[in-house]
Amino acid sequence: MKDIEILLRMTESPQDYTDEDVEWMMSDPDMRTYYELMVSAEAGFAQQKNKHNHGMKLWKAAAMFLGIILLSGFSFAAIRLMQSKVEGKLESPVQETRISNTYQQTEVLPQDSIRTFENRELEEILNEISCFYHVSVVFRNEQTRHIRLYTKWDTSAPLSQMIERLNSFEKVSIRLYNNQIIAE
Amino acid sequence: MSKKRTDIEHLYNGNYQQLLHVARLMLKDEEEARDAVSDVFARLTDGSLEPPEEHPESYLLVATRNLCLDRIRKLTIREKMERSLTLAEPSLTPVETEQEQAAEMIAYARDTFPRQTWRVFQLRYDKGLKYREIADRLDISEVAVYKHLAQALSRLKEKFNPTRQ
Repeated sequence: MKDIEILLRMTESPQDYTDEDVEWMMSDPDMRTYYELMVSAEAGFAQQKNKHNHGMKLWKAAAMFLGIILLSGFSFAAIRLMQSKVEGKLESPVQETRISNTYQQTEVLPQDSIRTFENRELEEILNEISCFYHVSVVFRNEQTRHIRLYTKWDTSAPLSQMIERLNSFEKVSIRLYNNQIIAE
Repeated sequence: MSKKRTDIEHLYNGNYQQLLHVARLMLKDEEEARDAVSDVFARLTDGSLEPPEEHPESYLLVATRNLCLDRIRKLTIREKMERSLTLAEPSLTPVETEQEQAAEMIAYARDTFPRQTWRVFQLRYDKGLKYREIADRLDISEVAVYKHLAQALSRLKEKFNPTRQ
């Protein structure tokens, strides 16, 4: 118990300790394990926050989109009502243009986490993905490097999801083993 | 020369945010992350980095990652602890496995810890409060905070017992 308390104090204020003190503490396998658990705990909570923030952005985008659609609908109804009370021809084509312009102006906020690969070689795609997820890539077949794909990558999703997505392509067979993406 | 400068500016405008995101995740220090990405573009400018003409984004990502790894390797253990960086060699740690384990750990803690232990655990590792602040907020002693965290870590060690380098 006492050692954990020292470790807890040390991790709260590492600047109060010397390098030697910290190295000595981390030379104990149990203390090192506890430290790595703390690092994982922080990472786990941070991941939750990121996913929540990303989800909130999507909700906000959806809400804005719906709100603008509704407003457009009310505007359209108001215009039609006004025009029906005015003598003369309705300028339908112009109205349609106005409405279509309104719709064109409504944009769903871009999803920052979506990356699109357009006709990119598998080697380029895997290099970028491996860098992002901090894993390495191995190609067992040289020809596989040059397979060209069109696909999207959700950077907020786990690597396994993207691997599954890529494997849905007929010519692609990749797996994750230890810290490597292995492309057959 | 001016075409090269235009190309570098184009790369900068198109990739800076993504590279900064990667650097932030790795270094956990905003200033150093910006410094690392600036370093990448400085090396582009002086020619020590030469990305391919077609799709240089992957090259830039790899360069950023490697620069960040170099910086991390130069940190002392104490400096890594100050940033809550893992002490394991980054190249040997599969990130996806880490992410899954971290999520599983939080779920396990939330579902099994006694209420007060979970609260202390959350305030420390989610909100980043100091032990004194946790004690004040929960109206308990600082010793009690240490006990709860020690209990939390012991439970997690028993359940997960991660083996790291």
